[in-house]
Amino acid sequence: MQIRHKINLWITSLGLLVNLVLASIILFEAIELPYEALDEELEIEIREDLKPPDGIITGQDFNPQFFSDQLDFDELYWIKVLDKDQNTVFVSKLARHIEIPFHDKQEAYNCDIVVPEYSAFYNQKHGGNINEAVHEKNRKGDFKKIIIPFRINRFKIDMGETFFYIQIARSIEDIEAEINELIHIVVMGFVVAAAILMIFSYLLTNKILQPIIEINALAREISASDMSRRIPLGKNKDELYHLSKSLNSMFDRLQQSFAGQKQLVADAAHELKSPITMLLLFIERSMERQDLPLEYSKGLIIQANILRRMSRLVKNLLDISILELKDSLSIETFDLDAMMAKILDDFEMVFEASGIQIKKKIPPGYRMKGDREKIQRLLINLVDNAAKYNCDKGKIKIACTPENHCLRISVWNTGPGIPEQDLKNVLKKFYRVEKSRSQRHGGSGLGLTIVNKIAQLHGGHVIMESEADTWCRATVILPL
Amino acid sequence: MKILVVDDEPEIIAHVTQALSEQRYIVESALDGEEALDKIFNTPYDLILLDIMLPNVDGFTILKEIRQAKISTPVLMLTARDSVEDKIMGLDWGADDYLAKPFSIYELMARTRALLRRASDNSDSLLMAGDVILDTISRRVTKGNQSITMTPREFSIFEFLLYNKNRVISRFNLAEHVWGDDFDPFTMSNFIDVHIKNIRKKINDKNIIKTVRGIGFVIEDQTGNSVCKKHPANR
Repeated sequence: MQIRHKINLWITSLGLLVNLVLASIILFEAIELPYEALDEELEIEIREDLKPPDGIITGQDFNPQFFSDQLDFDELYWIKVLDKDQNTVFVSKLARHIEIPFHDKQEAYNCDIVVPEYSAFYNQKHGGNINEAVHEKNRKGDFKKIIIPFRINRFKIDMGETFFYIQIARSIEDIEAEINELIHIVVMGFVVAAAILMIFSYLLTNKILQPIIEINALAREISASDMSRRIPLGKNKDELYHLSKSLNSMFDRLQQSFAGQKQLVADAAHELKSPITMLLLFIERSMERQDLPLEYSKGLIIQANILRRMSRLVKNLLDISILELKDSLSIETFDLDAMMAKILDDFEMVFEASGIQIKKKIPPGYRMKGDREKIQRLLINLVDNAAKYNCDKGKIKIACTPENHCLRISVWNTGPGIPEQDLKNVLKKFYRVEKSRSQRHGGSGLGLTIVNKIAQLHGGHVIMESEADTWCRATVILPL
Repeated sequence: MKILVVDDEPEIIAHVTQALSEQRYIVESALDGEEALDKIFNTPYDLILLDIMLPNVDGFTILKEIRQAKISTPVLMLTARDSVEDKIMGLDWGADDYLAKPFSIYELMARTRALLRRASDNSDSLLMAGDVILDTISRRVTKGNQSITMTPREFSIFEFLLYNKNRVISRFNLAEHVWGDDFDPFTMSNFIDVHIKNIRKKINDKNIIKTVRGIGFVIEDQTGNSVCKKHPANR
């Protein structure tokens, strides 16, 4: 996962968490609040209205009319008064239409009550008056029933010596609607806040990462093209300044080590090739002497060949060292088909002599981008290998297929193949499947290493496949 | 013909000088860059064999200076540095040819003669063996009045042998010369015989190119000189 996404995720999820906690607290409080207010309202309603009237203290002659006088004021409330013997003393208008069972709970609670659709309550709510006829109909069950939530509370009222239970209830349909609306708003707010948070975190991440992305692009450019360039240092001595500084000092060291390696290769080339040149010149000149005994002139020929083998080895080794230096590519566009045709033409004799049949499948006139000399070397080495390690009257198939993002060059040949355990190693320096075989063919064990290095230098790679004693295929995959 | 050999290895100078002297060239040598520049500006040479890595002043600088001084003497670069960039740089700065170390004395001889011929008159561009004439500029081979068609590879082999008249050239040397650096001459040297056979058939004369058993091939100068008299094939 990219660091940008990580930071985004962290900021967003942290923000959402805080948001969530805050929203929960608000919701919790907001939901509790109207009920608390309602409870208070109900209690005040009762306590205020039922202040014991002066003079009426004794229980027996207590006039139930008192409740009717005091409590039958509002059609909004459902009120039922019971005396200490659980006899109904007073029933409010609403309570005559709606049944709410008497409860023993001390606390106020919410309860869904089944209410006839055309009950007084319903009418009242819609501006009508309690209609006895409707009430009658309701009793007979002619109306649809609906469910309405009620807040129910119960009080015990002392009236001198006696006491009454008063159950009071009120529809909370409106409050619930309000609460629902509130929840809706909070959830909406939460979503909007989350969206704002995401946009904010995205912008913030960009702001934080932009300089790093710039430094990265520059660093890549430097390592790919010009090692002498450096990242410009900012004015503020912040973390980015130090990062740029560290990168620059790393480039300094890399440049030094590259230059050092180049110098080493150049020196080694000089120091190794000059003695070989001297020996070769001496041997070639000695071979022209006609007064040498036969065994000496034969010895000189053998020595000359050994020296050439050595010189070739030195050349290949130095080539590999140069190929390891990244900046030794000179890219151009050239005709791969024509190049391959020319190489096959050069090998024509070899194929003819060993009866090798060759099949080439390259899009005619296909132009590829790469280092011409190095690609040519790569192709020569592949064809040379396919010819050397082939069987009598064998076959070679060369195919070049441009795919979506890469170019696939494969050289397939019949022959002894490569044992499975050696497939990975044949690309290594000096690795030979079978020592005697390689010497018979005059190889140095560096051919495929060079192929691999050239492929890597072009940003590609080599895949070796083989079936023992049957075939072998080297596939070079180069990015387009 | 006066040739200057510039190299920091006395051994190499000694061998090259000896080989060139045998061909009746006048050879002078310089062991470092300053000496080389000194000699070039004081003596007119016909050819300069120039190493790149030299003490004091390197070969590229020498090349640049003499070309700036409008000295157009042909220059054959001899160097251990054989990267493509080096070759291109050398040729861009006015070198006429490029030979990578370690080089064969036969390759050096062939290139030396080719350069000297190119620089001189066209009449010098003809190489002869018996009644067969090879024109190095028009790249044609004629026998008497008859024109002979050769493949580029056959022409290259024949030309190389003619440039090295009286020297026995091994199959390996021929392979290296014809196919170049990237090919494995050990593989290719097996196929030189086929080409030689074809050339002999085309020039219709088996005696021009002689086989020296176990060593290689030679074209002998019919007029004869000291080298060919000593040759085992003539013994």
